[in-house]
Amino acid sequence: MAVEFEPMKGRYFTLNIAGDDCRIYMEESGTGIPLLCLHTAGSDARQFRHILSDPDVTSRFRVIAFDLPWHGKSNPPKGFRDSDYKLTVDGYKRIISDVCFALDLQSPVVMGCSMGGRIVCHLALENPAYFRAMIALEGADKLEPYYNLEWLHRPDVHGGEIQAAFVSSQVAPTSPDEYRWETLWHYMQGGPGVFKGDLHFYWLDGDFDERSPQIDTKACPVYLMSGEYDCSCTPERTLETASRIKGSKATVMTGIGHFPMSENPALFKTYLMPVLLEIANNAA
Amino acid sequence: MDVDNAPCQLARFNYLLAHGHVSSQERKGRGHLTIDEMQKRVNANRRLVHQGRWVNLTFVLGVGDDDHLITIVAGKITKIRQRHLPTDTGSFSIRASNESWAKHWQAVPPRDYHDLFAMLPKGIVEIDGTLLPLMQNLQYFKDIIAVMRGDKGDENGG
Repeated sequence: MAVEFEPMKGRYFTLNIAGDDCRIYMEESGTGIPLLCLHTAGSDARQFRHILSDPDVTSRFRVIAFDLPWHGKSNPPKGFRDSDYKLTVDGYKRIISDVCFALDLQSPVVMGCSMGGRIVCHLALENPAYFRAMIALEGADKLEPYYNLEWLHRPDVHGGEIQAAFVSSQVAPTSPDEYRWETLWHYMQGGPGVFKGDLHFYWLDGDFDERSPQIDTKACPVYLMSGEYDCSCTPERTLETASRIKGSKATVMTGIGHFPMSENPALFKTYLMPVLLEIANNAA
Repeated sequence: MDVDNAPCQLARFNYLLAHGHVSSQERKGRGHLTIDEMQKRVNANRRLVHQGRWVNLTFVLGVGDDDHLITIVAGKITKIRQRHLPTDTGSFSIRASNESWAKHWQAVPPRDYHDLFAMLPKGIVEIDGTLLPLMQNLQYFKDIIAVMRGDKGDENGG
């Protein structure tokens, strides 16, 4: 019996980012408007597998999801043993811009979740003429840490176990068990110190609530979508961010947590499709 | 009400507590029933006991004004007793109000009450003491507390 392949295709490419050759893994599916997907801190692009497989999306969009260096199937740069991984605003912006230019993406939509949702707002401010629209899932311009990051990388605590245990608080209790645990499995597989290094950007380096009012949403529309059960980027924080970004559109997604695309893909689709259709119709 | 059906009693109690229909006297009495039920449910859950097989300690679970000392040996709860003396203590403590635990233990808890680490940033739960064993077994401790959550806890630990 022949197997039924999923529609996405995975490929590797090497990109020089800030002087380091980085071997990057990406998956893509579909044709049309480029839709670049950015995974959450400590996870990888597998979170977007349902969107990559959905013909309602891929009939209009070329969906691309890549693993950041150090994540998933993307390698850390050569010599990674000599330094601790730490993501910064500037470093993260550079990676995304370099990937967009390397893949020759024309007027892409960027949809990021969590730290990906934060960085898209930075990109909207920086280069509104290049990007078609930004979708910030669980992304805010101001956040506050609520646990000590040192717990995430020490020899007497299992990194994978504690990462999953921390973020399980951010999954909605009504999300299907299968997808809850698939989402947590990704966290159990992260490299040592990588989630901690991502949270440096997410919690400590990513605030820009003083500059977010400068985003021109006429040049680059911004959609902010937050799950009801997200205890990190809460609906309140998302709505506060929306109040600062004039012209942005905010949605609170009932029955969803911090990982909409992977913890409850069917429910998330009901929120995402109207946004994607609006973007597609504006392009037509 | 079927008086022999502990889960039904518990569910109704949690509902009444969450909606402010339970007196302080009832809360105190039922609080003990609730905590005792926790031992039965945890020890009957093979997967949960296995998950905590490296855990050997006593911790304090504060439910309103009552502190309960919960002793665990190789993942099984071997004893639950109320704290009477200030020198009775455990490795760490996890405390919240009666009303907050009642919401946490609803079959579908409301946001901010659905997980220990969702309650933490809101100041709904307080954690103190030596946190290393808690962090080393975080999902286990979250699950043995959430095991009181409706019928789901019987099967997979919440």
